[in-house]
Amino acid sequence: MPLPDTRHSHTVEVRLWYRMAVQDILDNIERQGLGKVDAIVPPVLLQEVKMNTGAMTNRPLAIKTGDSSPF
Amino acid sequence: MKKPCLPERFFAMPLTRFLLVFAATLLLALALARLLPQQTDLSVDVERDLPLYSQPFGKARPFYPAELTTPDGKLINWRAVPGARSCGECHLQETLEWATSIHAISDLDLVYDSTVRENNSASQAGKAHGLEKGRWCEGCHNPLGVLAGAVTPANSVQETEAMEEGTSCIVCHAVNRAEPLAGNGALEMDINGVFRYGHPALLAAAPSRHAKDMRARREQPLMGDSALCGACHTEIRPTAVNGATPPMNLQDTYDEWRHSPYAKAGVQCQDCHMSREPAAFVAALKRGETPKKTVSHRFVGNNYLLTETALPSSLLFALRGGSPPGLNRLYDRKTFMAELEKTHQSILALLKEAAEVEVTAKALHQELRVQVAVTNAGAGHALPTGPLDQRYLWLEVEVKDRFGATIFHQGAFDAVKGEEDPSAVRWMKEVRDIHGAPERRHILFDAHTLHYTRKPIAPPPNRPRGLPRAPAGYPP
Repeated sequence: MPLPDTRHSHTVEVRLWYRMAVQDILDNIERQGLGKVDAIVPPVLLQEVKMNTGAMTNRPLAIKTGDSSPF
Repeated sequence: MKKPCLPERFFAMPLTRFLLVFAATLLLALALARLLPQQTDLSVDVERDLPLYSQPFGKARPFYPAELTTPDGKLINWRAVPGARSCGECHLQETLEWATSIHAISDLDLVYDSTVRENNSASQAGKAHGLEKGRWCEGCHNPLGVLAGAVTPANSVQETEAMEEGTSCIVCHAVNRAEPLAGNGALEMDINGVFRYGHPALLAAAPSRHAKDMRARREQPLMGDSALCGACHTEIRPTAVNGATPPMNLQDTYDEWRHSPYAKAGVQCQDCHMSREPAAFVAALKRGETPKKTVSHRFVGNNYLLTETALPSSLLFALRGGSPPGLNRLYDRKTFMAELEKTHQSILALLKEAAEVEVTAKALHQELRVQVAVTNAGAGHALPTGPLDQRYLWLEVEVKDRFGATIFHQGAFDAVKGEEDPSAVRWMKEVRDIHGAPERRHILFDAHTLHYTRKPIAPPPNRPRGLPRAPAGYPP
């Protein structure tokens, strides 16, 4: 992605989500005359990684799940 | 001294005394045996007992397209099916744990129930013998109903509580053998055979015999073997459903495990998913330890929705298909909800133990390049697994400037619409209809092709450290 300003640090946040894909199936229930299930199936956050890039350099920065502190 | 008369001398002889005691004991045993339940003929003759039972796939395969079978190949007697409540009279904690599981509602939950109805009656393939074709689904979701002949248009089988309990105690505890690669419920179940041994008089007289008859794990190794689970966690749509060839593989969880390092180390499905602390068990495997095996009957898997105690209880019980068996008799609602919350938390913890994410960022000229690696770090099968049109993973990536303002955002979830950014990186399998359109209501009867946005992530390639290698040739 293009950066508007490379002189300063940025924060990269990555989240891995898991979700039951049954939202459309809930519509079956209404179509079959069983009533409307008024609910949004929530996702579950499996992992989240936050990384502060610091001042941008060409040096690659890496962080993974479970690492305690950002760069 | 008076000499003993002949009868007195006769009874004084040691051998005679022994024979008398022996005869008395024998008579008493015979009398008690008369009090025990007699072996009754429980076999079901379709022509005689269920003349309207529909068998469009031939009389030799009364349960087809389910791969279930019985020792004699005949239907089971619905009167012989013990319900979980009767097991709970003695095995309360196990029954309570099971009641919170997805196994307990496999036939009841509204998501399944509405889906199978849609397949049976509103699909193209369902127009001819839709209900009978539905035995393909019901074989694993409602095995007792299929075996008893209740899944038929003109049902004359009594619907008891036991018959509605889905994958209940008796389903696993009456299995003689399993064919996991055949899938679709390829289990031989001796329900009629175990009926007699569930009688309270026999339980009291010989509990060890009861343990043997009910296939306690120490008596029946299959109970602790992935093959038992694999018979249902392998789903293959047979040609009989819609005429399509070859059969369509829809769930390969057992096969994924079979080729995984966990199988090579002899780690079975039950070891993780029936552990009292599944996430801790997996975490220990990941650390290279040899964790102690424990047993619960929560069958912790992925379905966090139908165990979500944060939902209004009326909605939760509606989605689960009603109140659990045993409620108000074996336990109260407060106890059940506390157990359900434990199951829910176990599911969330296990899910989170499965995946790891690594992020690499690199500035290049005026660009920030972000690379994300998602690995399957803990599951002994692919991630995700199971019916992959019904669960998926996706990535959300957000970049903020030094003031905290978002300058890039991909994969955000819209909690009002209930959908994520369509440009997100997703691991999902799409079922597509004959026109190539995505079908998101699980109408597998009409599924034409399968399309992966990204293939499921394979298990880690190396055998968990600290675990011995499984015997040569295992798994089959």
